[in-house]
Amino acid sequence: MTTGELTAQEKAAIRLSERAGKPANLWRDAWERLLRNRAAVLGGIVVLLLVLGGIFASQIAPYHYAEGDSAEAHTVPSWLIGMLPSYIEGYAKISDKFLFGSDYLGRDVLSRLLYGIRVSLPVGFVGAMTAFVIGMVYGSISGYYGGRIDNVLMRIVDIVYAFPTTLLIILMMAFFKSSFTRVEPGTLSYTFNQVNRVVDRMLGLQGGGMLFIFMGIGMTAWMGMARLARGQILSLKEKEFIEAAHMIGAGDMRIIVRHILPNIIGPCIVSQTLNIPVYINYEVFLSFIGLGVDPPTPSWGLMIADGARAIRSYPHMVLFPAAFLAITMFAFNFLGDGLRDALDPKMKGTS
Amino acid sequence: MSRYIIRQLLWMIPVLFVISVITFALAHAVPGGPFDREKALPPEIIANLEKHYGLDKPIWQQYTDYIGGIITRFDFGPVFSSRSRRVNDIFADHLPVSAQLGLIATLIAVGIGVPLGVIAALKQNTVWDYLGIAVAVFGVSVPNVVMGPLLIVIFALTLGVLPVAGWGTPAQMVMPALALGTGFAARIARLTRASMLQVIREDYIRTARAKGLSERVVMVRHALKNAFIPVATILGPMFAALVTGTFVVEQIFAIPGMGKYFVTSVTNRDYPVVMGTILLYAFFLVLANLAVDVTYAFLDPRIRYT
Repeated sequence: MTTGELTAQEKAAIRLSERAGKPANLWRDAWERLLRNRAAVLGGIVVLLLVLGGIFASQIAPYHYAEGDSAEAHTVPSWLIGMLPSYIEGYAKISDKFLFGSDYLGRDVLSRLLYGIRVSLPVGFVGAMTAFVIGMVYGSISGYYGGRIDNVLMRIVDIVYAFPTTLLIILMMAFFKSSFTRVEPGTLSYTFNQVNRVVDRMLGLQGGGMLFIFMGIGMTAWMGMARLARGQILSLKEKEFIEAAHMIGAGDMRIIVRHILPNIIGPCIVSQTLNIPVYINYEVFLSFIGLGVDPPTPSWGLMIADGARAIRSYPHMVLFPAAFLAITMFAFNFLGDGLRDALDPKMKGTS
Repeated sequence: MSRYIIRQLLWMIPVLFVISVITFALAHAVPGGPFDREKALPPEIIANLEKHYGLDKPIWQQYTDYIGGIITRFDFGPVFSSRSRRVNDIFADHLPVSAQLGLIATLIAVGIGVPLGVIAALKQNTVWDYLGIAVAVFGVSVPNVVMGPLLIVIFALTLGVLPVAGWGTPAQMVMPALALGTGFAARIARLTRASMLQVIREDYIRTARAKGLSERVVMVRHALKNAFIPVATILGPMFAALVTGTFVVEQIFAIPGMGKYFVTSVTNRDYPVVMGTILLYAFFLVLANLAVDVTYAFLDPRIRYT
């Protein structure tokens, strides 16, 4: 116990001497702390690789995600066959054309995994951004103005919170999917449909229906963020420096944007980074039950569902998408934990 | 305390009311009706069916009839896709299965998570601690869509010790419950470890030791009880997340629970099933959160509800 403290003090002293002359800076300190965290750096590298893989999917992927020959369905690569239960050798087609094998329509699993990044990562990032923006605005208003406004706004959150989120998303996805596919120019659904097409084209996944997934997740994800932001502001707005700002005649907007937000943004970013895997998982879940992206768009959830159906005869089909998903989750969790420890060392090891 | 509970119970009424209105509106906003088929039915038959189920009445009256049925007769209405069964029958058949799965998974989550977290905290920076952290990180990062197939490949296909799918026998319950429970066990373990580490550095723990209490009493009576407060917070949301989990796990292991039924009902516009399921789960969810609030007050006498 005591020796541990001593070494920690020594380390701190060494760090302090290394930094002599450089001014203290929250972001630079956080960055340096992050770089010292090996797990977080590893997570960051994996995330970076995934981002690159997603962006250059059309260049790297050996085949197109939607094209396959059913004569080549369910092939097993030769390097894998030894690791599978031996009875599979009796009927499986062994082919080295596909590195990770092919699915039930003869499509290349590796190519579909790479294109699948374009579904999973945007869902994670957009989910986090939407939750961040809506939650911050909502929570700031509620916490800052307090009183009756706070009461009403928080009661609304309480009600939405009591909704079984999963069931709500399922219902909303069914609603979006059926009502926005009817295209009649001039209507609201038509506008949504056009926006959806633009989003799909930007991601290079025609007919994927990504906008609706963004909407479904965004509409249910902001409550936690709103509560967090409100709580932070409640504890902050009684502080002297806010009072001082009031005193010199600063307006509400100025106080919120210049004095309050910079102080609460750290924990809020951390909370959303840690939530990215949650949003990714939501899309996987939706696609898994058939309410996510529209086939033939490749989603890891869809691939896991396809694989799970054939798990007895071709267990390898489920392994690769499952592994990709798990690695992505690990990477984001490591990165999020590292970011939290770096931005607020006091919170280390909690949550 | 009892006043707080009564007030929270009364608060459930407007909550459930709003939820029922939103759900009703959303379910009915989905274009198409429950009697759309690949081969269109003659309009007379559809008209008759709609008359039979009261779907020809104005929408607000459909709503009041539905809610009235629940309140006066505890009747959640008919199932459009089946003539002989009603929503109550569906609940009676499928809900116990989902509840059973959820309960076993919760027991696994708490039963593995809490001891793992406590051991990791008490033996900080030893092999036990690292093992605990490794298990926790693994459990948090591996979602149940991955865990389910992984367990099947290992235990059913490679080792051949457990059945691949199905529900009923204890052997069939092991893998689904594990697939669902480990993620939560990991979350609980992390939280328990963190809050335990914080608590055992508190002054009152030192005081308890100083007055000569045995280490076991200090840990169980003083440390664990306080360390459990933050853990209790996530039990409420955990219950909600368990619902998600059961849907996936039920599909992977071919378990006849509510999950599959709910999804098909949504796409078939079987309004009463959709409404009933959401209302029932919302009801449980509010109750679970209330139970968590009450647990707080029990664990920490400083928390007072007025």
